[in-house]
Amino acid sequence: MAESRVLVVEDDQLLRTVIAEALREDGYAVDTAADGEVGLDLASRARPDLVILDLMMPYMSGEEFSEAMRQLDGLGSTPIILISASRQTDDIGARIGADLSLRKPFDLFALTDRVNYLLRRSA
Amino acid sequence: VRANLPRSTGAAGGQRPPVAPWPPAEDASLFRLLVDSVVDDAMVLLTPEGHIASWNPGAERLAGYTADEIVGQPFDHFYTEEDRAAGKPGKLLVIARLEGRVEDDGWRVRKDGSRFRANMVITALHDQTHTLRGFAAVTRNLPPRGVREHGLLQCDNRFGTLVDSIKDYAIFMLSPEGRVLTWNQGAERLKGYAPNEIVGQGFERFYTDEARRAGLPHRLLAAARAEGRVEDEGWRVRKDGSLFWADVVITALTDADNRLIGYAKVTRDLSERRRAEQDRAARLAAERTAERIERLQVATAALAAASRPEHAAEVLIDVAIRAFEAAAGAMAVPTADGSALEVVDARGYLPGIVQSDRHVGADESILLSYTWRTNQALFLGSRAQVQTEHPELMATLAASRFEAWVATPLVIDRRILGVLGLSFDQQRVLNPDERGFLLTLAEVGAQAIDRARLFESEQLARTDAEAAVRAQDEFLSLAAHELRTPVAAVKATAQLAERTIARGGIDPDRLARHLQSIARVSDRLGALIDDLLDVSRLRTGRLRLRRKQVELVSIVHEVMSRYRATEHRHQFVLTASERGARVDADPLRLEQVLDNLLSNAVKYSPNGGPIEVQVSHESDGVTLTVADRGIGLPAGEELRIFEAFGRGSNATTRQIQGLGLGLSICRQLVEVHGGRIWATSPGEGHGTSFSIWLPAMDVAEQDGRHHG
Repeated sequence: MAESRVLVVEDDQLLRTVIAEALREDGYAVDTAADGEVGLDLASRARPDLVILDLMMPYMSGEEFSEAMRQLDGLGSTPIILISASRQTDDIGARIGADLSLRKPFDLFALTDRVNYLLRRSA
Repeated sequence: VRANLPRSTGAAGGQRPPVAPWPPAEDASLFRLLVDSVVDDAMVLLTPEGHIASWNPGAERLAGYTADEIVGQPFDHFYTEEDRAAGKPGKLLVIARLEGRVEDDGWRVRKDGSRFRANMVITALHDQTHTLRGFAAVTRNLPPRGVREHGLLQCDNRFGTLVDSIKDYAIFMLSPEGRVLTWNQGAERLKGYAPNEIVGQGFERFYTDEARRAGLPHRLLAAARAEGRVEDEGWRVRKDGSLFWADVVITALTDADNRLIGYAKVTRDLSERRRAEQDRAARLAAERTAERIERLQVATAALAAASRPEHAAEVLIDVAIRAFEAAAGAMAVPTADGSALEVVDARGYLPGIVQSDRHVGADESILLSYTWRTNQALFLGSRAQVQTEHPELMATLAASRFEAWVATPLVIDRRILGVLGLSFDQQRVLNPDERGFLLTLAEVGAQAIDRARLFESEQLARTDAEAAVRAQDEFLSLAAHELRTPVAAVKATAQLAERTIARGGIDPDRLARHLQSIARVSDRLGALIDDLLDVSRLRTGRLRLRRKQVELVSIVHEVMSRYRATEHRHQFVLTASERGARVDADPLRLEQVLDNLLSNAVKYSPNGGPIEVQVSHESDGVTLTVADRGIGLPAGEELRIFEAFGRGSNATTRQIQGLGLGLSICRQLVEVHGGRIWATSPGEGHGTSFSIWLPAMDVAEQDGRHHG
């Protein structure tokens, strides 16, 4: 079985790095993007099995990103974990069909556990 | 028949008809004399068909026709065209025939076409066989004073029948000494005496004791003798002692040699009319009062509903115009500095005048100002009154298109809130009632305006407070949002380090890196919190400055040297004149501003390059400019970047960290120092220049008197 790929789209440099590091430690191939535009480009090329998505980012919001990504061939039902400082994180997560919505600051292990659960099940 | 009727003596002044020697040989001539002596009332005989059969001097005086001209003509001659068209004259005769008499008040037409208001009584005249022989028509000119027209058709020329048949007037003759000589039915009905009781008696008994004591009866006769006739209105006494209000005309009767032969006395009971008039006046007054109260209630209700002063003014003007039937109305209030009046609302004035300069035309506005200055209501019923009472206003009001004016101050608790003015198309004198009403209206209006103002200022204060609370909420929510991401990064880093340790794979380098990250983000968080507090303090004006005399260039040197030590990719260049630039400032805050501008310059020129700082003196202040060769500013964003959380759009897309608080803080810090800050950029990719200007210390302070 080829290793699962995770795409992290988050504009905060440290948070992005730490999430990527934790997931790599868990055995995933991780791509990172600091904004939605770069993220979409990566998604279309790297075909991630799961996306960790920030909501408020420059140039393109998390919502716009998810909509655009769903249009990409084969990425229509890729699981999304939403991470956001917004008070409406849960609502927005439900709206874009996120598998999990976490409000910042969140428990890193809640995030990694859900990634493991989703990817091992679908694998 | 007609031919046998007597003629008037012709000329209008014919109060001296030719008379038969006294005592008269024949009743008819006496009564004819009597009728002909009456010059104030038209006494006319009509044929059963309504043609004029006799014409007395009163009729001539009233209607302008001589007997020659009019006898034989239909009596509807005297009616207006409308009345004639409506068949009124004929109807009156029918009623008189059926009911014996008819009374009618209305317009009549004179020979010259002019109109007069008349009261007319038409009495039907029947002979012993109950055959209608004609009508007696007595007409009196109504409002000022009357002339009665009394006509009586008497087939055999017997004026006695004419006079006798009249029941609404006491018509009788007096001897030169004042004894009653004749007595008609009207006299009997009015005064209660039968002819045999009274003929031969002195006429003083018709007067009250008081009038008799005052010698009124004989004074009246003397006056009639001297003037030809005399008129009197007053109380008279009936046989039973009761009083009635009478209108009396006494005419002196003289013979051809101008010897007094007696007096003709015509008395009318005005009690009914007087009572009716009093009732009517009382009713009118009551109606007016009721109407005013109602208007006041309506006005009060409408004014109470006015939540804005302008609306209250509108209602007040509206009510006042309607209540006084004014042609125009305006309300003015003092301007904010109290130096002049400004029109709040106006109705009925030429629109251009009011709207163009908020004045009601120089003429009327002078009136408002005058009232405002004197704090006295002004009632100018006519131009003549202006001329006599306020000639100083005449010069301006002369040009007005109005004829009368009133103005009243609107006062509450001795404060003049404004002035209400009304203008009238015609002369208009307000009676005391109306003046009272206007003043009450002004009082109610002043209260309403005061209340509306209070309400409005409270509402504005509330809106301001609400906006401030909302802005604060928004700020806090944005701030909290911005704080959550770095906190999330710290927490995640700590958790990752913890997991690494838990799994036993302790890599000291990696752990150190995590811990450094945590420390770095914590610093950023600390700075962020300071920024937020500064923003909050600046917004609420709670920032305290510790000002002193500061040498700007030395501060710039100091801050730049710190940057030179850490930022090696940039070249920091200072250009400053030799002369020291001293400003009155809080040095720590000034340093904060400089630090912010330099860190921005570094941050937004990621590719390095020179960062030039220039300090230049001007006569009134010092300008400091920090210029970089960085990413520049998109056009139109030069102002937005100074707002809290406002960042250049290219800054966010280029992943440059920052909340957008720094420049907002700089702007406010510079502003509390009395200075300005601005940004210029030739465009994206071409660098940005930030400049601050601070006022120079004034000479006295530079001389060392400053103790900062």
